[in-house]
Amino acid sequence: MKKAKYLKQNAVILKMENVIEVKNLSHAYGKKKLYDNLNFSVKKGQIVGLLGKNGVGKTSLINILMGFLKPLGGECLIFGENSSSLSENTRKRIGLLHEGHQTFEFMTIEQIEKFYAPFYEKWRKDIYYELMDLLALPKTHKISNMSYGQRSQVVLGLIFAQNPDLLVLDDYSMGLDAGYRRLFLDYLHDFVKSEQKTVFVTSHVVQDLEHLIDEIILLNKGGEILKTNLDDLLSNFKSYTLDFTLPSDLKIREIERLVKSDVIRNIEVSKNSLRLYSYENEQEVLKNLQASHTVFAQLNNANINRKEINLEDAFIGLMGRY
Amino acid sequence: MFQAILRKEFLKIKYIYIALIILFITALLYLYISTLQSFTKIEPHSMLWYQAVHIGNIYYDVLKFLPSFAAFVLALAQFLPEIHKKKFRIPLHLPINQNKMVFLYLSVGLLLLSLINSILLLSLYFISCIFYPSLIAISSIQTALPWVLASFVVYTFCVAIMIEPYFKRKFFLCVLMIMIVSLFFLNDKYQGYNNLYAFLGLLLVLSLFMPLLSLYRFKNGHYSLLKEKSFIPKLSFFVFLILFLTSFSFFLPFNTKALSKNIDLATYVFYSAPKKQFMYKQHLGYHHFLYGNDKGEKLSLKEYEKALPFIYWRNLDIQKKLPIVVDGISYDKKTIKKARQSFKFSYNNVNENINQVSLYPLFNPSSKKGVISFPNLMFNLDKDFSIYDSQDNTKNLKLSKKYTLALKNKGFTFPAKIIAGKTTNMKPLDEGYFVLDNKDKLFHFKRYDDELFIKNIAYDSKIKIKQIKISESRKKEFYGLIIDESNKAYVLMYKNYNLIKLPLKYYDSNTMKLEIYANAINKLIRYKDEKYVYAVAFDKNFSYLDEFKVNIPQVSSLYQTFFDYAYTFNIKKNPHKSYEEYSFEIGSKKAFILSLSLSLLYLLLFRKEKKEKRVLKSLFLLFTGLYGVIILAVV
Repeated sequence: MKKAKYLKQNAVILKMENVIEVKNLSHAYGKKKLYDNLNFSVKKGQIVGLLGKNGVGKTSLINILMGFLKPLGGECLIFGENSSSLSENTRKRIGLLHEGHQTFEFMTIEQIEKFYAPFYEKWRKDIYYELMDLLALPKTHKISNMSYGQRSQVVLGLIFAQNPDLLVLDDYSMGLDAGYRRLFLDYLHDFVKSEQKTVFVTSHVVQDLEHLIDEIILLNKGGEILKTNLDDLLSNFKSYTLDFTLPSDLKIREIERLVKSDVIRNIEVSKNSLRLYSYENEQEVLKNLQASHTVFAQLNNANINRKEINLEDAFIGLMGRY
Repeated sequence: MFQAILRKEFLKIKYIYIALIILFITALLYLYISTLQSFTKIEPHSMLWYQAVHIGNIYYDVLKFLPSFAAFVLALAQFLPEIHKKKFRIPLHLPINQNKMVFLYLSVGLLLLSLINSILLLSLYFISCIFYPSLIAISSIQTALPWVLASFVVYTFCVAIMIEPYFKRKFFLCVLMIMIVSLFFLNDKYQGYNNLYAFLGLLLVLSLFMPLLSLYRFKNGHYSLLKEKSFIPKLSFFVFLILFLTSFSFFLPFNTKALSKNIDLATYVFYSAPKKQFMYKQHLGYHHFLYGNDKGEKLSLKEYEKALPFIYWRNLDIQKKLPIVVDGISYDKKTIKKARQSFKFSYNNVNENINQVSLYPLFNPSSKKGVISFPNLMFNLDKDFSIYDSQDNTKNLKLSKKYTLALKNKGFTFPAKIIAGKTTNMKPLDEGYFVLDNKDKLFHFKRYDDELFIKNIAYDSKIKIKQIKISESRKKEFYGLIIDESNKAYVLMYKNYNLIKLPLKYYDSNTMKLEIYANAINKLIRYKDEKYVYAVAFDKNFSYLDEFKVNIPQVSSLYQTFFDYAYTFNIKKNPHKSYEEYSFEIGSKKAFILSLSLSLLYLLLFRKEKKEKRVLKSLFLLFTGLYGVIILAVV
């Protein structure tokens, strides 16, 4: 009987493609609207990055997904289960990195491993100690006496040792220097590559994610999202520079307001140049720019240059600098 | 998994726990040393036993708040690291039922608290046994038990307060905790909660739900519980309401009553021997007095005092108007003074206090000494005539055996039901004790010059004795008062141990205090209820003369009016008992009018609210009235 139930459950899991499904999600803090009818999904095996500026609700979304916050409307499904009442079995399949690499700091390297191990049947002690060996610290070393980077290593070790099917990483880069960020990413990369793991990650260091993620979800203020494939974004989204000195009587904010459109997604004005972001080609961008204000009327093809774009540029191009 | 959590929690709090153990040991050492010092300084040691049993001196009250303090520190040590940066999410993500997880955390704290409290209670018992008889040692455990139970409530509430994510609710949980925990400390008498352990235990069990409600709110925020499908959050919220209503319905009316009592006005009634009339003096407030007599005549102060020469004899003495002549007999200062006697009998008479430790000083006045010295020996009449020697805290086996035999030879059956006597040596003479044995036989015994005098007193078998109060007087007219099961009062006379039934029509020994005043001509018995003072006048030999009742002026108290309107129900503490006893009381019709108005007002004013919610809340107001308004405002 038990076996039949187990097989039935597994059959459902195999059929199901979406590991995370967000359906008509709405949430607000008082009058501040975070999401309004938000919809997206993360498929099995995908590595998805959730990007957005500070305060747009990235951590709140993770909290909703992990059942630490009940949304005002809509629902989120994780492995087909409503996120507000995740079963023990589902929680067992999720490796969750809390913002700020939170962990039990009063424990030692050895004690914390012994604490987590009984909760997970697939516990991989070897993975944990492989990462700990890199720290070159005795097993009796207390976590509270570690640096931020070393602590992140312990947390990563604990998550990997769980051998989870889904990794949810809330701002893994917070407080880490470039070296630890790289180490974290390398291990993560190897871990997810070996088996078909699903990763849902947020970070404020956008650049790091470029070599990790397949899909990107850009979350804007008010809950507007853009979900796209990373390769598509980097090949279709373009950045242009123009040598141009803005007359001193014109206000930058005013110009930005006039220039931004469906064609020119963003403009950065500096002392002697302009930087424009668009999915369109040079001619189309130039035409729109000339039409936006008389000061741009004299510009021609010779002034505009296309620049190589990376994830950080794309992020700023789509989300703005401030 | 439980082991893993147990290990983790212990790692987190081990240093704090060790510090608490050191604190407990220090407090216990202090208790031992201070008790030792008292026993070194004070002679005889039985005086300290007497102070504990009859004065109610709780020699271990240094321990009173220690368990609650430990609970507070333990909860803080355990949960402060968890709520810092909302780290409590880490254990909640572990693959284990979240309610079970919280219970495992609580189990660890409660287990450690139980351990430290057990050490405290056992040490208290052993320290007590060094200095006191085991009767007092056992009683000390029973007295300290509510303090220990309170600590578990403090712990669960502190945990709930810390997990609760919103400040406003944290504050109200604090208020609720203070109210609930206060219930465990209201009575400072020995074994004051003996009849209420089940109630205190219930409060403790209910308080266990508070962390679960906080857990729900930690996970879901302000999410309405009406929509919630799970049973435990709904049950926890229901328990939260029950606890709020219980504590409010006790403390709000209790304090309103206390405020209204401050303006209670007194009325005094005396019997005038010269005029053969009752005289009364009513306090109308602000030091305004009204004087009158039983004929309805108003009197001046001068007339009033003149009618009561045996009360105001000192004035007459200063004015050189003594001796006075009444009915042809002259009464001088000496006669008046000698004849005066007062006797007071209260509902919380020592015999009625079922909780008190049954240990009494065995006086042994000497014919060669002018004063009664406090004895070394104290006795108990449970299994036998047990006599304890306070100098070495042992049972005097020889004397116990001798006196047990002496009592048995007189037909005494152990254990005694009532032991009545004046337990202080600050009395003009010692009449020993009047004891009701297990077969309702009444005995009188006293020790004098090392000899035990025992008398089996014959009395009407229809009288079922409930209370006895003895008070020695040099006049040697009566030993004291006896109350039977049907509230009849009897004076126990010296002459032949006669019982004289007193004609007290309205007297209720459970709620009223009774006073006997004697002068050279009359005896006066006075008692009162909330509305009247009753007085019965007798001649010297308790032969009935006359009776009178006069009303106590009732001022319209704002607090009383508020009380009548505000409380749809209340939990009432019995003010006539020295131990804690509560009863449930339904409010007046006025209170129902208010709750009905509030309920209708809610339906009218909150029309924007969903119908189901609005009806539910207005029904809640209908049943809870003012309490409901406060709860709806804070929840």
